[in-house]
Amino acid sequence: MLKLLTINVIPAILISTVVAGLFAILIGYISLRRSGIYFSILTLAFAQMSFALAASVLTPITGGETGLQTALNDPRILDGANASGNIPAPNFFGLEMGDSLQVKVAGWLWTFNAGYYVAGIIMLISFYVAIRIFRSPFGMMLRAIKSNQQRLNYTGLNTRPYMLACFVISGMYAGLAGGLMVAMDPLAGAERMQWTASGEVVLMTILGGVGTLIGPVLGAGLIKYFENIFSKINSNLLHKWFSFLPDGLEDFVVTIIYPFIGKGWHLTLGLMFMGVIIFLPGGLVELGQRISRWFSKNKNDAAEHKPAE
Amino acid sequence: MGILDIKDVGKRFGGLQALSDVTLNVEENTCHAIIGPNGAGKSTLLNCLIGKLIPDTGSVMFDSQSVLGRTPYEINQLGISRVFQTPEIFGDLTVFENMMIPIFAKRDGAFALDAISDFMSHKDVVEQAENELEEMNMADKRHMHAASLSRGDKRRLEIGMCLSQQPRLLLLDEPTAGMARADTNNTIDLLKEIKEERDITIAIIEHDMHVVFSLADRITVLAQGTPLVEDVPEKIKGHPKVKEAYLGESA
Repeated sequence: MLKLLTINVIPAILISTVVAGLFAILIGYISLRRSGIYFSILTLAFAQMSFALAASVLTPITGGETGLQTALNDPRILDGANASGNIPAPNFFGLEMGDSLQVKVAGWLWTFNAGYYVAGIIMLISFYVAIRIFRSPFGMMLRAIKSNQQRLNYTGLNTRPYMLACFVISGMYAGLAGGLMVAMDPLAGAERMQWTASGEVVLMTILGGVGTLIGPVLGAGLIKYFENIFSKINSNLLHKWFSFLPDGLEDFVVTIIYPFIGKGWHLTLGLMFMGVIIFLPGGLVELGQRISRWFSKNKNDAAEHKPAE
Repeated sequence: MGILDIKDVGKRFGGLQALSDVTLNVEENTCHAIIGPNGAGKSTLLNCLIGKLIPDTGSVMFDSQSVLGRTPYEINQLGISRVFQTPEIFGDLTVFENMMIPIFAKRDGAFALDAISDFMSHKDVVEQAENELEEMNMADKRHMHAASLSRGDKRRLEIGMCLSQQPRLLLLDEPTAGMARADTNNTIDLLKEIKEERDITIAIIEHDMHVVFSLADRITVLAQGTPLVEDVPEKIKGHPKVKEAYLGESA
């Protein structure tokens, strides 16, 4: 849409959400004939299939390996003639996504990035929508399906359309995310469709807490945060950190740690993931619950001890 | 003709004739028990009633509509509610939410896409769920997760959920299987109460004869896939054929 209609991001985001929803109807209708692991594999197969299609036969539309990007000679019917001779950047009614406002407050340099806030506001809105769905009768039925599908069937509810609707809603959320990503960086490559992209979302959900709303948000934050930190560390930095050690030992420690940082940060992620699954099956949400329970227990203990004094 | 009319039902699994010529009428507003020793075909018959199996021959009519070939939710919408052998409830949801779901299903039908309103804002459903929990003496447990209830309470909740839909036929599959003596007696008392207080037809499939004697108006004894005798409980007790069927099992 950034190519064909207008460089404004709003239509692009809306249309990507709707199109993803339409695709989800099709894929969900087929995949939901199976349940459990077969269903998951079917959806992954669809993702991989679209990746293969985008990278091969559909190259004229998708750009193949290079991906789609904005170009000077794109039609952009709604924008009118391009006078400047530069490739326009995606914008929100004139506010470019890449723009940042730098303000100096109390000796710190604060950077306000326009795209960041657009994405942030949309996230808050969609999180609110998710809460509303969660608390609606429809959301209650979805939780009931997760809990005991057989019972729901014998309670007189047809679970199939509920699951399809749920599938479409999650597809639309994914489409929204895709639309936002293109709005930030107008280069859409086929590798976004590879199954690892779906896998990353599953990782985020499990790390944060399955079956909760805030969990995936926390998980996504955690993964992206660690990705930024660990992939920035390089061997020079490591040598600096461990320079207090004797020479031989310093090299040894750096060699051991090196595979876990920089490009190898996925190794760290894997270890973290194993730790969470083994010790915190409920993810970060469970961690929070445990901590709050621990605190309230201490409080109760204190309350019980007081009269004895 | 009764509300549930089973006629000449037969079902064969490979070399095993699981059911043959089962004809059985359940009269409206009675409690009808179907008992029989292991392997008598009780479960097969039940599965034919709830749409899990389609019999090879015969017909199953509920209120002059055939139930054969219908999906479980369609059968429920006809007015048949089913209680499972092991209580099937929504373990991750609270007791109150458990109670609301069947009421929503009854009010809105098999599918309703209401993703905007708060579910607690549906005052009629909330009120009815509160009443039902009150009836079941479970109002104090409404905020508990259903999975943390005791076995007897799970059964109570499940029966309450079925009753909240005002079904015309309540189908129970060995409702006391694997229960402690006290829980069994509680369940029997609850069922007696329901029978007296509501206009409802109850069909019980049960292995244990003693559970149904005090409850049922009529009992059908099933053995080797066909009904042996059908009579009032007093006459079933001393019936020579019934003794033979049950003793034959243990001999």
